[in-house]
Amino acid sequence: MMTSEEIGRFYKALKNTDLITVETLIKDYIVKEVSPIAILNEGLIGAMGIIGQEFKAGQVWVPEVLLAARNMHRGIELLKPQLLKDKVPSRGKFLIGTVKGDIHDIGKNLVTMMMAGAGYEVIDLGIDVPREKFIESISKDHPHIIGLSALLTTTMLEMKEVIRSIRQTFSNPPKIIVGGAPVTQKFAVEIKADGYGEDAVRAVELANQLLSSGEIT
Amino acid sequence: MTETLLSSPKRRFLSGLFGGRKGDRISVANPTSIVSVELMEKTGIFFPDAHLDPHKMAELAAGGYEILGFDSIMPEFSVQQEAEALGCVVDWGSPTMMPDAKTHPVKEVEDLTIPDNILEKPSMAVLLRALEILKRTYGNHVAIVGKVMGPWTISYHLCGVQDFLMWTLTESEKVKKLLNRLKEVSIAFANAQLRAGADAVVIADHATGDLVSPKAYQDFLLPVHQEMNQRIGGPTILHLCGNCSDRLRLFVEAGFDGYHFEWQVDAKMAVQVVNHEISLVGNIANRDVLFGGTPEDVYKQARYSIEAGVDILAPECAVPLQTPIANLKAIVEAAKEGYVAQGPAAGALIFSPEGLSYGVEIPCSSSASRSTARFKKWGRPSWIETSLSSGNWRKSSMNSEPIFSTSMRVWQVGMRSMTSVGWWNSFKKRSRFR
Repeated sequence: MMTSEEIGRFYKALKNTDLITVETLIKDYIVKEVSPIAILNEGLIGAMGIIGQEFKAGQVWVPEVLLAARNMHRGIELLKPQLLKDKVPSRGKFLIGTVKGDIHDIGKNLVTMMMAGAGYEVIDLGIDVPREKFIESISKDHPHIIGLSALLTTTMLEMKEVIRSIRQTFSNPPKIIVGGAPVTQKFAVEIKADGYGEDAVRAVELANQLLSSGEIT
Repeated sequence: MTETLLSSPKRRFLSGLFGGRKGDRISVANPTSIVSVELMEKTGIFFPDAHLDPHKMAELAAGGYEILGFDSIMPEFSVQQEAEALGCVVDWGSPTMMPDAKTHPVKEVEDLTIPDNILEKPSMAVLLRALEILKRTYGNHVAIVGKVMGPWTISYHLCGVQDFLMWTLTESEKVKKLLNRLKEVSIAFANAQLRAGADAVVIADHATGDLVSPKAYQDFLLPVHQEMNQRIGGPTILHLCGNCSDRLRLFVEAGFDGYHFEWQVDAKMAVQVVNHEISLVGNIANRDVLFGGTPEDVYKQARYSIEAGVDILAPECAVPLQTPIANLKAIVEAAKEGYVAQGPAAGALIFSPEGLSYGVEIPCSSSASRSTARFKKWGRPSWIETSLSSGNWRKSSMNSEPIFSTSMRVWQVGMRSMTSVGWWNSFKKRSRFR
């Protein structure tokens, strides 16, 4: 297990404005023959968890989280060859996209990065995604969970249509979670989503819950 | 006693903006768009035409005054007019979709070129022409409000929100240079709008509380906004959404005349914090109330803001396009009640000697000798008495409206739990909207 001091070094590296710090740190640990899973789960994800909590508590803002996500991404890139060699199983497959008519992607990207960081295999369909594309991707990729994002009150209504299409098309559809500035828990229930995350940290918690509740196999 | 004279929309608005004489009621204005699909249908003018044709722009905007009864006419519905002039490809949307920039051409300061004739670019010139038209038609009665995007918002469009936000940490010098150059566009556009006939200009600069810290505002934007307010030759209103409770004093420091704020920022707290050093414009919630609520919900929030001491009543931000017109009108209705809602504040709870009937006595005398009380059959009182001279109560027909009297007693049999304030409020509120 990493000590809190060690996790602190990852935390600092994620907050640093240059990429060199995180690169050096990861390389250090690889040389020390620490298992790549430990570097990922305890180091990077542990540190990202702290930043996520700070964000929730209003101590850091979106730029800091974007920066941390960028740095973590770089870290995972360096670990990837090792992780593939060790055949680390993914936690689950997560499909995400901003619904049709909406081209906003910060929230979606934050969720994507957090989910990838938490060990999920993420398929990002991007922005302005039509219903058919979600359906097509579900048939092809068989995700466990789907995330729908919308920033506008106008486009959040499109979420309802996407969910309806998915439920009509598949007899055993994946779990669907929704989020975005105008979306509320109440709205999520109304449109028959399986869950609502008010921010990216909550989205990961939600995905974990849905997986561990055994509802997803 | 002198009767309070009714104020004109423009005088109400200007007085509110400068925190001056209060007059008979609060002004209702819109620093941001109040266009909805319903309003487009009523005026027969639709998006996207209204973004790019000055006559259509002016006519649709005028619906805010003509149909909804607001004190202001504000013709800029999108946030993309400058973006297109500066080189973004803009999708101008549809009646149910606001415009959006599709490309973000600026990656370095050098990529930014500001055309000399930027004010003549179609997407910006349209607004100047629309303001001229509105000034000619409504200028001596209604407040004509212009709007420009501040350098922060223009940067979002030109650079992409995500990149720009990250640069505030990784390349702060670049951010400062961009803001400094782009502020010239905002200043030139604002002054041109004032010349074209705007009584005030909204500066929308979305360094929102949901995205960045108060320190980011202080470091990057405060000096820029201070300079803009020095160089713009007329009243300015800052529009900056999100929960900005933690940075209100910075907006005062920036030197704006007004701050247009959200429901997330509590009106009572805001009034205390800014201490009348800046006028507060707001803050009826869009999503849960104007879009998702009923006229009663709107009424409730509007009265809260008025009683908190907000200077001008307004929706918190550009309203969702599916907002019902009835909800927008309810803001004006709430304002028409004046600074103190009639009824609860003046009413007294009275009991009949048998203790079975409960009533509320409401002096209807404002400065005028009589007042109009309207009621509806819902929640029907058991009976109503009116009085034209002291002590001379007369049972009034429940069906005739309006009732003219100097005071009124509203009676209910056997409602033991009612309170004068709550009961009268709900009676009154429901009776307003038919």
